[in-house]
Amino acid sequence: MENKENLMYKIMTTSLIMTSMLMTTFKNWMILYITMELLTMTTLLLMSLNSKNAQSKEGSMKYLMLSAISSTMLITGMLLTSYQHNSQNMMLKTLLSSNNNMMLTMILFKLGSAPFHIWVTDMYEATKTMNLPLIILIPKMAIISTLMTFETSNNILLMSGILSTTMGAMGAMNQKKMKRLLAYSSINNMGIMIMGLHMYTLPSMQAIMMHMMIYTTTLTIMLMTLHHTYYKKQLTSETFQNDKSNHTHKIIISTLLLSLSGLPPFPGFLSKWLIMSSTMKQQLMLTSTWMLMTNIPSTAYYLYTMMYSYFKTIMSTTKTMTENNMNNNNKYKMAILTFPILSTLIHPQLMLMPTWTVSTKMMNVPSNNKSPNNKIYINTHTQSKN
Amino acid sequence: MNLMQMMMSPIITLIMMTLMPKDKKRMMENMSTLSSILILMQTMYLHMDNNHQIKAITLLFSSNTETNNMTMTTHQLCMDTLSTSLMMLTSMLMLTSMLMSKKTMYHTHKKLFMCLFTITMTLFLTLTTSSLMMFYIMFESSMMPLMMMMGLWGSRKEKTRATYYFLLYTMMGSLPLFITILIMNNKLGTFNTTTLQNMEIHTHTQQQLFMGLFLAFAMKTPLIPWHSWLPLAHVEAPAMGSVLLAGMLLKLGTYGFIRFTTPMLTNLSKYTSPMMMIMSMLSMWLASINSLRQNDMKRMMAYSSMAHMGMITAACFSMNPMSKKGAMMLMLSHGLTSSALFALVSFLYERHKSRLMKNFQGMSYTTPMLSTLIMMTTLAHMSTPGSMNFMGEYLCLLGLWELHPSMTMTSTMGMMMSTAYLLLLYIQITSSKPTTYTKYKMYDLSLNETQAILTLTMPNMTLGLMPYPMM
Repeated sequence: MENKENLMYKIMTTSLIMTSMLMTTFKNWMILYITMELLTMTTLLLMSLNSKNAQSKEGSMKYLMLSAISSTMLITGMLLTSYQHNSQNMMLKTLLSSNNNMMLTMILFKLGSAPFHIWVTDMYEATKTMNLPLIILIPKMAIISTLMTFETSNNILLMSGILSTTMGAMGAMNQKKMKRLLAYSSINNMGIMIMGLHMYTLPSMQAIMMHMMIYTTTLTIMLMTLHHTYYKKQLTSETFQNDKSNHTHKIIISTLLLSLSGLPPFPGFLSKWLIMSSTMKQQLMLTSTWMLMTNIPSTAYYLYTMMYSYFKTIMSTTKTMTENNMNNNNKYKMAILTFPILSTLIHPQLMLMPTWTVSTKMMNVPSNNKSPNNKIYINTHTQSKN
Repeated sequence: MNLMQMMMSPIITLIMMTLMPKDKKRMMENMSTLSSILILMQTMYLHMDNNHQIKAITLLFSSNTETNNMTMTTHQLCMDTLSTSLMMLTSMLMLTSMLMSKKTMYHTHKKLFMCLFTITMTLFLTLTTSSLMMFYIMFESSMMPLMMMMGLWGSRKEKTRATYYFLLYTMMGSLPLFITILIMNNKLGTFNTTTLQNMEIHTHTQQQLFMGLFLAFAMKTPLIPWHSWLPLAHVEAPAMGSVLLAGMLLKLGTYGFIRFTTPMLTNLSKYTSPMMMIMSMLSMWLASINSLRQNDMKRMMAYSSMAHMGMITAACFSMNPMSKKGAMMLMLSHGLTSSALFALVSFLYERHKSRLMKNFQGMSYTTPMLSTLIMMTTLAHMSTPGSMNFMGEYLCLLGLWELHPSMTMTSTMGMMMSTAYLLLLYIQITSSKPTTYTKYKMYDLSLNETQAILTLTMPNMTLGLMPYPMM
């Protein structure tokens, strides 16, 4: 029985990765639809794997229903545009640039951004913490990279970006469960990324890539550590307290929370700074200020989770700070994942250079062999707009 | 001596600290004290050298005419008398906190020293950068280690709430600053302050910049409507945390006022100076009235430091060279005396495990050293002649008189109240009949503790009598 499940798990994970790779490589709309469907199927199976409580079943059912509706909408939108343009074999670029709002909204649903965000929290609660980074992050990365390759500066993106930053910030204000809180934070971060997508300039592309890399690594480490800590009811107050002896977990989670909140010395600040500066370049003052203002409540809840659990256990008069031997294998895993996060702190150029080259290739702009810090921000899109 | 070489020493000590084994507490303490002494000597040399070569102080006052007065040592690091003097202050505070740590801290020494050296590094960088963005980053990142100190080494359960307040207030203040810095970079194309000072900035952008800078620095100083994090933070922080907070981190606000707001936006700060005067006078009066009726000594000191910071902001915005010089002097001297008072209060707390004033009476009978040191620091804090506080306050009042005589009147009244509560504290603690606790259980300061206090009080006294090196 165990072996069978393990095999199933392996098949599912490989298929998930393969389908997301497919999505990024092909530029055909039919392939996009098919890969989206495949992604939903595999995520559903991964969610319902080893599920013994009612909550996970409920979450998976919700996800199934909503994603089915969204995919039908998606295919109707695709068919409508193909009917309008009178051609069967159409590239995605024309599909997305021909003002087809129905398709874009459905893609936003798949990303889990604001008006369509309700399934995200349930999904987070439903799945096991071990499977979560697979289910959440890989499809999102694939979908965002497909969106990035095509010119999609639509106003729907801006609206959903603003909405999702606010919903992500406000939703988690009084949240007691750790996973739900992380879900809301993911919605908030999604909003920031979508805002960057709306700009569609070279620095914003770079900023999105930076944000994606930093955010995915932080979230994977967070979920890994949460997987290793024992907490029964999944409450935020439990995450640190039940695990009094294990001190490395505490340090890792607290630094990552601070990085997520975007406070300056941490790499989370770097990505936010890049996105802010790119929005400022497009003269969108109000939206960028709004994004930063939503950052305040989100920092409030990150700090809440950090302090009320981490600081509460330690007093100056007690001597409880003893280190427990963590499993060596896990230690290596943590170290490998946390190292890039901390290295960006010391030398951000390491992350800035490759993202810059990739974004120049994506936008078909000569890279000029200049570092991103030199100010040669070529934005062909806005010039053509004007 | 190079500025870059100077920066290397805290980094090297940090690396050594990380490599040190956890249980060798004694070795770590000795090494950290040694390195802090080294850093102090380096900063003193830097200050003297800088003072000899150029009178960089002129840069602050006639910013629009002179450009090449800053000594550019590396690309974005530069310094003048203000920054070097504040660097000296930080290194002095580091030395005292190292000396204090032997008695007041009970656990996780390694992390504590690492926190302290990261604070020194970030503070040095904030004081020497010429780019606004770097300033913002370092300004914010100096919060992190202090927050860790408050959270990990604080002694009561309310510390979580205090740290929460502390960080959120500073966040709320500094996010508008971040936005305005970005806006300014978008419109003018530079982060560099020296080029910004000589630019013709449009009035609308000037207003935006002023609002951002003002909010961030007013939350940090703190002026009165945004002050509520300070007493909480001071009460809940461990001894060294409150020493650093009162000594150096509050000065970052006024440093920002002197370095960025007044030279960059001269006309606008002249225009808004009445508002700033009113706010600073209000904070002076209300804070000193508040501190008159406190039982908790640390809380009292927190309110008193608020009042003094109000005086400094008033001096910053009176916009004449005299008061600016005075503000610089007062920043330094207040950093020395208030942190010494916090240290003394923490020593009292170590002995009796309470900070209430009524528990200590007649200490001059049993603990002469402690009571004399308390007398020295309180006298310096109420700015008696002979201390550096007197020099600073005198210059501040002269500058305020130049602005308007009524300003001097109101601020002197505020300062009078500070003498009242400080005398109240001193008399309550030292004189009258000793309680049973002070008679039988109280013990005098050890050598380390006296050294820790004297590193702060001796420079204050000497500079008060001979203020030339700071002028």
